[in-house]
Amino acid sequence: MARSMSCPPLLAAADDVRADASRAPTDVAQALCSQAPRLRRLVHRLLGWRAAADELDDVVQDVLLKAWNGRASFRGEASLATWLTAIALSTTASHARARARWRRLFGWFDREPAQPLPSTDNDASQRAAAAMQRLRHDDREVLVLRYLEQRAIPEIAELLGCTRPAVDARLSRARQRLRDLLGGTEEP
Amino acid sequence: MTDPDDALLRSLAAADATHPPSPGAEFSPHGLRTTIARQRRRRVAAALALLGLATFAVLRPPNSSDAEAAADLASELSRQIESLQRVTSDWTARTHAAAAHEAAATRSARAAADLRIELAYARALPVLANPRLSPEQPR
Repeated sequence: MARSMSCPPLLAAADDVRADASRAPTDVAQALCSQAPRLRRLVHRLLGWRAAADELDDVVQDVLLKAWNGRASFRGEASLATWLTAIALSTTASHARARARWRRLFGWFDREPAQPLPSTDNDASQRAAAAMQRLRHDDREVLVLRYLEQRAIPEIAELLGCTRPAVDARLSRARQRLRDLLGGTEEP
Repeated sequence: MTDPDDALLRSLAAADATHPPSPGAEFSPHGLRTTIARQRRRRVAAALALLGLATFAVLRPPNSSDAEAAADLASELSRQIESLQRVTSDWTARTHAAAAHEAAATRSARAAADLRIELAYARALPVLANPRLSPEQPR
């Protein structure tokens, strides 16, 4: 897959953002806000391409606020983009858990019958999107990071705070579940 | 690295391409600072409201109407307790009277039975004392 959705190169200002008190707050805020479109696309993917615009704005704003409030903990060992991605992952996971909890509590109120996956071949992307939406957030997270964000396994391990074998296992399990949902082939 | 399932990845990429994020809000440093200030004001207001509620709950002076209501409730409760005590004592007295009456009746019946026995014995005594009057005596 072409890396058309890859991360934009980090701005020079963003790379220089450190938690030094000498830096003007406006520069830090500018560096954080410059990452907003990339974060918005990542959150959109992590939520299964079905979040409304307001919901995306809320999550991205939450990520930026957490980054701003925790800017003193940014030691510059990773890039600003990686640091923001880790914050976005945890924030989106919390948001997805809260949404699932809300749906469990009040989902009976407006429960919709489960729609079957599209069956025609030209709806392959729709089928994939529907299957991704039915996956658990943990599975979707690792698939998005590996195949849509095109991150390397060590980088995913660093972002998720786990080991490389654990990432491999999660990736394999997520792929298998996605195949099961799509009614696909066995893993070679 | 070769991926094991190219079709799967192609469909994922196609799904990603066909679902772009809708255009959302512009995040600017000014907007971020405004949001942070609003959030801080909201937290301070919530903390002050909580503090005020806690202070009010701890230092609230006793209310005279509450005291009157409590006194009314206590007097009503004492009235009901007295009424219950009266009912209980009446029931106890009636129960005791019925038991005494029954005991007296029992004693009367026993005395009457004793009297009948004594009377029968007195009537039978002359016959028992005179063998000639005894019908069982063989001649």
